[in-house]
Amino acid sequence: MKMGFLKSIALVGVVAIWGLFSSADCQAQVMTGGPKPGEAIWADYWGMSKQIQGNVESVVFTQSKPTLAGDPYHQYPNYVSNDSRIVSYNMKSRKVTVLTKDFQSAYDPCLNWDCSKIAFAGVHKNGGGSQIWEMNIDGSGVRQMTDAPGTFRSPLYYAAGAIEEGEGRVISRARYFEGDWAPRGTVPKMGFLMVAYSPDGSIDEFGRPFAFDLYRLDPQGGKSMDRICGHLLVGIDMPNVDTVIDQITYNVSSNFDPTLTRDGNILYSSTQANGTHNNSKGSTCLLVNNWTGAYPRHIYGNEVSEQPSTPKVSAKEASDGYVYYIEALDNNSGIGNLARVSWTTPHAKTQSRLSNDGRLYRSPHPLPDGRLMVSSAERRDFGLHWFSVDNGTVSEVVYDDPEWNDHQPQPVYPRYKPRWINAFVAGDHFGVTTVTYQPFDQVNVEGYPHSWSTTICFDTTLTNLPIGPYPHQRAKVMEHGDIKAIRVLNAVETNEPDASRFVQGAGSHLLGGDKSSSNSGTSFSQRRMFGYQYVEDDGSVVSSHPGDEPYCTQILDDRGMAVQTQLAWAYVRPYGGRICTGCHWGSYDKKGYLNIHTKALYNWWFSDLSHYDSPFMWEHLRVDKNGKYAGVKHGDSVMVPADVYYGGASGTTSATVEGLYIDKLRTVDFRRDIQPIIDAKCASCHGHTQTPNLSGSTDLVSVNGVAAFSQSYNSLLAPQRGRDTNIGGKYVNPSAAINSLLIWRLYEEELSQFAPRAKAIPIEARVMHNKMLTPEERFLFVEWVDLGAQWDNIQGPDPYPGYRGK
Amino acid sequence: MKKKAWLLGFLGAGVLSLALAQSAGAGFIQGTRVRTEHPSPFHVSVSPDGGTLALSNQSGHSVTFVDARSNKVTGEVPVQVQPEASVFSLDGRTLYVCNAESDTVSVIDVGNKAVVKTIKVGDWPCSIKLSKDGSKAYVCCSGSMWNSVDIIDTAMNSKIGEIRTTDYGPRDIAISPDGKTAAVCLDTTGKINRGIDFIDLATGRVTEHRNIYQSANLRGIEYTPDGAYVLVTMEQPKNWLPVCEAENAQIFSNNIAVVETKAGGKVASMPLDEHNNYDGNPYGLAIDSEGKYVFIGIRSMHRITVLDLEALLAIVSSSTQEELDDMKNDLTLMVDYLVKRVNVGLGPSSVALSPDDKTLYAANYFTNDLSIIQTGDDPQVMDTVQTGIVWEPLPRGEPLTVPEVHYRVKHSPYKSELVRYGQFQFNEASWTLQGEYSCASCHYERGQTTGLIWDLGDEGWGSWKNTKYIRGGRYLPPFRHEGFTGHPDEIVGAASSIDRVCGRDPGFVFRSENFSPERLEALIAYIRSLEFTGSPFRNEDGSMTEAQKRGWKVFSDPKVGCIECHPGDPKNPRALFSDAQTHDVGTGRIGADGFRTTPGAVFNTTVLETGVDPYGEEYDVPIIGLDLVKEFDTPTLRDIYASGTYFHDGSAETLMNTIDNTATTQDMHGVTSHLSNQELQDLVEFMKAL
Repeated sequence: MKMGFLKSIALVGVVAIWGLFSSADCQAQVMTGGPKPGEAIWADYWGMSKQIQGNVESVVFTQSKPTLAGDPYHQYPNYVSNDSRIVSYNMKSRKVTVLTKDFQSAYDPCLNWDCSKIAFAGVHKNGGGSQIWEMNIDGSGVRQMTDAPGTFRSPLYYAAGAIEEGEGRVISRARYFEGDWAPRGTVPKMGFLMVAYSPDGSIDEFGRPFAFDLYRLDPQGGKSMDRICGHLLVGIDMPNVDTVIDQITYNVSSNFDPTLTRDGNILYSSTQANGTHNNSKGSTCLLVNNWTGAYPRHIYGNEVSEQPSTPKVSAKEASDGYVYYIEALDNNSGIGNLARVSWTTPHAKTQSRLSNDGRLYRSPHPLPDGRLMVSSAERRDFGLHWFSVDNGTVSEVVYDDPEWNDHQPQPVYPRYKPRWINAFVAGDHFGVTTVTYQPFDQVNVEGYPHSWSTTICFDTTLTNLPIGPYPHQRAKVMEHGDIKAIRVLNAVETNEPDASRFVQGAGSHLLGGDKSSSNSGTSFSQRRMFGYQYVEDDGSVVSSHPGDEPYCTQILDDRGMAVQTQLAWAYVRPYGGRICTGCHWGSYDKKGYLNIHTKALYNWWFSDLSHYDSPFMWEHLRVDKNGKYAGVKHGDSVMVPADVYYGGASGTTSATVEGLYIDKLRTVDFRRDIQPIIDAKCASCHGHTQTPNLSGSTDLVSVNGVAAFSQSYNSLLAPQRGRDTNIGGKYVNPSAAINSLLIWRLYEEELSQFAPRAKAIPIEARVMHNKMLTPEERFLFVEWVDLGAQWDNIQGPDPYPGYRGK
Repeated sequence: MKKKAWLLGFLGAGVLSLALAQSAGAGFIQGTRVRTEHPSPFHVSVSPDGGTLALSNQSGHSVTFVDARSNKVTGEVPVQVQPEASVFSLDGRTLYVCNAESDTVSVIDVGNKAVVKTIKVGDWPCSIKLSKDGSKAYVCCSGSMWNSVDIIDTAMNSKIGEIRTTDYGPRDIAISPDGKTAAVCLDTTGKINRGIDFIDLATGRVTEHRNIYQSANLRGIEYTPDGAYVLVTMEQPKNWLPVCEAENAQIFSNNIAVVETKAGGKVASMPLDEHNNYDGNPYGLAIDSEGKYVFIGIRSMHRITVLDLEALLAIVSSSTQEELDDMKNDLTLMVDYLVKRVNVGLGPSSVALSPDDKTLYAANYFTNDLSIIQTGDDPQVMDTVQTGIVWEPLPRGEPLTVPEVHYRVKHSPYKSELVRYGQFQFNEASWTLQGEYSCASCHYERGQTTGLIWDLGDEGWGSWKNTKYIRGGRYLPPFRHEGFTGHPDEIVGAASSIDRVCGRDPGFVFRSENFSPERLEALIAYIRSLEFTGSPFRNEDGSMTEAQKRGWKVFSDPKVGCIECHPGDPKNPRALFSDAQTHDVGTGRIGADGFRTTPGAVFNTTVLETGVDPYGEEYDVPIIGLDLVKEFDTPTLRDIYASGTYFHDGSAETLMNTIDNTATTQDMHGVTSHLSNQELQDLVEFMKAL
């Protein structure tokens, strides 16, 4: 069936209705069984939750055996063994029932609102990988929800849409602003499930063979023609089940452990590994997002003051205003210390570790009535306990089977549905735009060929990040007018069916250390550029680039070098817009946004053809006699020479508008772009007698028996002796050309405040390198380093030399 | 009910006698002519001996007396329309009540529970306080183009004078502990930097005006017991940011301004919001006599926020102005001075302390009750006194999609219960993301406008629009500045405009699930029911003043051309002064090559020449523009005095700016360049009369 936009057909919008009613009678009705006014306000999720909780008599949970080597599900930040099972325990009768008898392994249970169903992840005894399933509370009526290669984990019922039985009416009209609304049939009502999914072949930035993102799963299923639900749920089609899923987060490493918050946000753990944060170990912090993925933002755990060194996992919001989570001891197990931080003010001053008893903890579950159930072990055997916050240790045992690790408790009580948060995202295909993103409703607007998104930065020079010697920090103090442009990078989410193509540690002798692979000496993720965008002299910039792609922004000085690089991979959903006041204002700093009035908003516009060029860009462009772009002029200095200014006048957006799709975005690849320059202009002097040794271009150098990189790449990516090899090297600081001795050499100028500790050669004895390359060639080096000094930035197999298996 | 007394948008809101037979507790839902039995207590005051409480019932048009010892209602006295504040005399025997819509003060003999006199004051009296010696009562007349604090002599019970404030909209007044000074917060429509006037009471002169930068919706003001500070409840709009997201206070933050009273002293806008929990619409406040706590009524989040005043003042006193300017955006700061948030009834607009500071009273507007809170380190609600009909909001319901609501919305603007549910929804923050703000934050709880411009993003970012004045809106669809709502039917137009008025669905702007159809129906019913306020500037009998008559001559002069697009007869109370068409009046900020080809063109060169930074956030209205279209819907001129700033993008700051060719292409909004200054002034006077 054809995917794509439907222009001429009156489209069907699916609407869920909770019964019909006559308006006259229902106006005066008071809330039935509700709490007193004052508690009954609409935001009072926890008040209502307490109201409906009732007695808790049983608990559904997971039992796992201890770790086995080679266990495929070991490598996930919330470990379950591959022979886990989900059981139900009645605390009154003390009866245990195994619910997942037909499963080789089952885990991650989630109860629905009225506790009639359990969603879970598991491997069926007939095989088929870790998929999402649903069953009745007694284990009957198992239904398969997903069927795709890869690993599915952590289903979470989400409140959007009517999670009710029965039929919903379909009402639609052809165009958003015109025409008559009319009913067009009915559909069964269902809500959404959020899941974590790692496609087969995913590799995260640490070389681990998984990279989870959050997806929204619509169990109503159906294809776009049959059932349209807001955004055309493009993404993965499941061959054997009637479900469609939509990816809502786009992280290069993993997002996992989703849970609900009182205001309809989804709280989850996120591994942020871009740049060299935390000595390249990255951090696993807490983010929230809404159900469309339109508003990711940081809650806790990525700042230096927020103890970034321990991963924060298994978080759950509680009725006392805190988020309870585990400070994990490692990156895999989900086991560690119990801690909490205030939800209303997530900050170091409201954070504390709760467990001081030397026990191990995992999967906390706070109940609306204030009690806390947790899985805990003294040494190895995990059992379910109540936890006493006052005493800092467990109190009574709920259930503890010595042969199993009992964890992931889901006490059985009715759950109050939080609200959901509207968003505004577009479909993936040209010609289809959803103006309002709602469940069970399709609204199509013609003539808006958007698949991209808008980012607005109000002041690229406003930051609270410290100035320091690390490449991700500011190298010089920048004022308004110093920042001329931004460069927007795009990470390629690594998906490699042939694992031997990304041999981990092949570059461990290089400055990337553990994060290197045969793909790169610095990081697993390949990078490319969306392009450049002009920054106004008040520091503001508006940019558009494809949605649903991980990106990060670098602010550039007048040479086009990155002064500062955004640490984390961000993304915007299509047709969405995100704004920021400056770097680390807002979410990270826990500040409200500044009320800044910027030039960029006035100097940026779009026409109906969706051509996002800025008139300022056109004004400052220079075109040579052949009609080729000769560069973008700002003041008297020319920056970003013409032939590297790929795609057209406005860089970031024309590339997409002019039909150059995402896979044709430009990148700088060492082998294709840098190596030839080195061969032609550097290797003649820089051989065996002149460091760095840049000779022998195509010969791959073996290290520890693994042939990986050329001599020149090995030389240039040498770590700095005596310093942490993961921050910056002898010659290059990945993502900071401005801090790289190599680049200084090519400019014969110390470009930043911070000198690498190389012995400076006296001027008289110096061979001046600054005229040896053309400006364009030199800028390629700048881009190569700013992109991350990768070895291979071209996706997929390519004809360039590089080790790809034994 | 005598219909003729309630002309649609009645003019000359002067002496409107409530000799109409009405039972106590039966009045109108604020801003409408919809009858209701709900009293809606807007304000509570405490007698000096602590024994009696007086609740001003805004919809009930009455005052309810409660005995503070027994917590029982002891009587209800009808006053005039829309009482919003009251104050006891020093001996407790007299109560002065401001009737906001009648523009009067009722004098009540407390013992006899009867009104003994009615005093005419200025436009929209909403706050009244007693001088320290009790000899005078000061009445804030908070009309949108009014700037007086009227003085009443309590011995004679008559108005004896006025204090002129430096700007319009004096909202609340506080008398210093030594009785010598007064501080008035000015909630001036259209301003982004509102402020405080300090007044020397002996001379009646303003001694200093202090700006509170980036402020709107100033509601209550109080002195600390030592007189060193005044505290003002306020909101901080982020209207120069496109309405892209709501979290991290990207749309509004809610603050309490702590202002040093000494000349040129510090101004700190201390946050009332936490990172994931906002105190939407802070209103009345009270400070205990020892300066330990400040109690704030958070009207739209239905709770009382109690702050440790000493901790708060310690931060302010030990920080420089620069540090304080940084702090006003710090959403983690509240943890350091929050004592507790106490849930009360719905809509606590006003709080008052007993004389011994042990009890706090909160008037709950929507639930018609009074919360009685025991103060201390762990404040608790001890009792709730029902002073009117028990009321609960519509249940949450199943949120539906826009098309479904359009399909089912019915025309029922005058069903009283529905309108009240809608009024609640309008003044309700808890359904926005984390309680950040409510409809009232932009459209004023009076259903008018706070006059700020916003970039709603529905035509792409970068195009700011003026917040629409919504009173009397139903008479003149369509709602949008560009003149379209997508449906010819006015009521569904209203529905459409709600779903488009804030860019997209209300759920989008507020980052919340959509309304259920019942709730949306209620909101539409309320908005449809809002009537024009009427001009306070005519003569008592409703006739025009001389200047206004001259202005009418200019207005109706065909050479000037106003009457072409704004047809109407000022003698006709139903006249709307709009042809309901769209016109190009030289305000469309697009360039020669058409739609959106003008990057950042400055159009108000007059202002630019005075040195205003075109991108500075301290200037309230844009002087650079970017528009989608050139023609805009002609607005009604009714209540135009109250709907400033003007034009679709708010680029005309005053009425004069709409006709003096600063914000438009020459002579395109009326041919006015040949008019004398006097004629222009008269024209403005005429506009004020509509």
